[in-house]
Amino acid sequence: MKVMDVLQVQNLNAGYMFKKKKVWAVRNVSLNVGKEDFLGIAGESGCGKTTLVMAILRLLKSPGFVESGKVIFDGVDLYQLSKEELDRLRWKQFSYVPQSSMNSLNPVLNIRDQMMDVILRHRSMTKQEALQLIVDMLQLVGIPPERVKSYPHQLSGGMRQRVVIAMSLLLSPKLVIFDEPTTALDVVVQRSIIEKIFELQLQKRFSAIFVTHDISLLFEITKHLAIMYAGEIVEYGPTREVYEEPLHPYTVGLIESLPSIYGELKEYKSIPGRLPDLSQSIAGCSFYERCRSRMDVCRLEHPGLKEVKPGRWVACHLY
Amino acid sequence: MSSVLIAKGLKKSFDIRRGFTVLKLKALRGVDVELREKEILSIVGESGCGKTTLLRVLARIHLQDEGEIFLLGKRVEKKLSRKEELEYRRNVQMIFQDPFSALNPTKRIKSILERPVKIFKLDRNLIEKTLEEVELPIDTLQKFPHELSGGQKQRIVIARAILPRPKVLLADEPTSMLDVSIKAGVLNLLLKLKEDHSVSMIHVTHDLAAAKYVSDRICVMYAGLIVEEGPARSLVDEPLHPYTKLLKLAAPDPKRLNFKLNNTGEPPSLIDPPPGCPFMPRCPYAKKECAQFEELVQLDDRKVRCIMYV
Repeated sequence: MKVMDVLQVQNLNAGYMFKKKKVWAVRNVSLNVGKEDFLGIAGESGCGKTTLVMAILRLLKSPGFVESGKVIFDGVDLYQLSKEELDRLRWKQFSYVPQSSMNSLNPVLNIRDQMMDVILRHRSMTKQEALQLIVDMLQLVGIPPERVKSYPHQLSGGMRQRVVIAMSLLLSPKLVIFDEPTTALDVVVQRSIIEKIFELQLQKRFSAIFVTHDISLLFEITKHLAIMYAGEIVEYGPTREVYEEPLHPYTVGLIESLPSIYGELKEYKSIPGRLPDLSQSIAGCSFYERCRSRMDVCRLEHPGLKEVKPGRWVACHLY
Repeated sequence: MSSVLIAKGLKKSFDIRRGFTVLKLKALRGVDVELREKEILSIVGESGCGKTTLLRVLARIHLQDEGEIFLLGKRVEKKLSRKEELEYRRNVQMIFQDPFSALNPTKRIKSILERPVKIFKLDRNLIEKTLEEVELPIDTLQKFPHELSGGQKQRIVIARAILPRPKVLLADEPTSMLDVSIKAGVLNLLLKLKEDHSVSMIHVTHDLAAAKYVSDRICVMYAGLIVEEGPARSLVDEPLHPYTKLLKLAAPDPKRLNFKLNNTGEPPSLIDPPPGCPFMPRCPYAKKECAQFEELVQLDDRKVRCIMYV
């Protein structure tokens, strides 16, 4: 099993310094992504999703810090590498699609030049070959070749996001991390981007992590699902099983709070309350305040992540 | 049922300067809206379709270029005296999209909620009562906006809007900045307010599922025009206009696997839009005649701007 994993995260602790206090945004997170696996990470804002991704990619900058833990990518611990060694892996072995494509493209370079930059830095190719690769890749994400000389401001939000996705796949990396790639987009455009990612993943066979606050997007495309709450993973399992039979009360609440467009109207519920203060250490379960099925033990004892059924992990005292 | 707010033939365009040429961006191209008593009307559409502009024209943040607005049967002139303007705003209040920037960060909640009390000379006891109605504890009054969560902030914005007991609430995507887990709570609150205060509401959203849940009627907007209008249930269950069908298909649904929509194009530019059906370039059923077709077809209690239903 271990050899198969493209990415292994072990007991990662990360956070931010805020007024000389440490705020723990990622608390003891372990996860693994297998070959051609598609992992979805869902959680509400402030639960540490983006911090986790940044920590995995070793992109967390001050005031952010990584306290402890290992990130093993393809057998190599990313935190043991020198800067140069790490730079060689970026784009080529793993790549990252950030949340806001508006800010991730350089506004004064046209998209051909930006993409060329990525290729020429990592591969010895002639410009002619590189251009062919760029055109092919853009066509794959549905952008006509005549747009290669466009500047980011000449493209719509959906097209920019497609360009960033094309860029992340240029050098056929083993792992692509998508951080809310569709949040700023309209429903119809969102749908087409999600379909594109799904299709490309099947075609190019890379492993992927997809982070979002909108859990409904994940059910259709991911293989595994991890639910994050207050910096911890509270549930993990195969996507269909998690959807059909959620175990953690937080996951149950998340699924109940989804409105459905089809079928009968049922009252849909919210989860009252808010995330706990992450600068304090939490003795019991972090979801205690908001939980419907809480018990006395939940306040006192921290539930660890346990495998309750084959492949189903949950951090809750109910099981 | 009588109507509270009626808008007829609203048009609004914005100037865009490109060097020395001034282009007109036509955000509203003749929109009719009728808001009935004690009703939630949802306006659904993608960004750039003009739904926020419509709301802002109704709130008199922008003034329309053409068209008329009637409030409680009285025509609202484009130019109002200060007193009339105040009266209009007392009756028509707005809930903003982004609760994070709609509240002054340097003021306590108490003084934020005292503003409408002072401006409209309301009863001071109303503040605590309203706070209870939006399901927040009384000690929230002493807090600053940054001490509240997104959902709590949005409840304060709602409390501020219902303080003067308006007849009409204009809600501009009130849940789009909130997490899924608290979205439902805010929508349920809007439903409760409709019952308790018999207030009418125009609710702008891009989420068809939320619109179905919360509203009595829905208008679907596309490129500055209303393309379909009807009772919420039947409109979402059986959409008529190809655009509404597309919106419905695009909504994520965990029960439906391996479904493909493919690339369906993007909305047209609103600078010099061509005549005829705006959805024509993306429409799978497009015919030659669509290039001239502009009327809204009435079918029982529904209206649709599509040649297929003539």
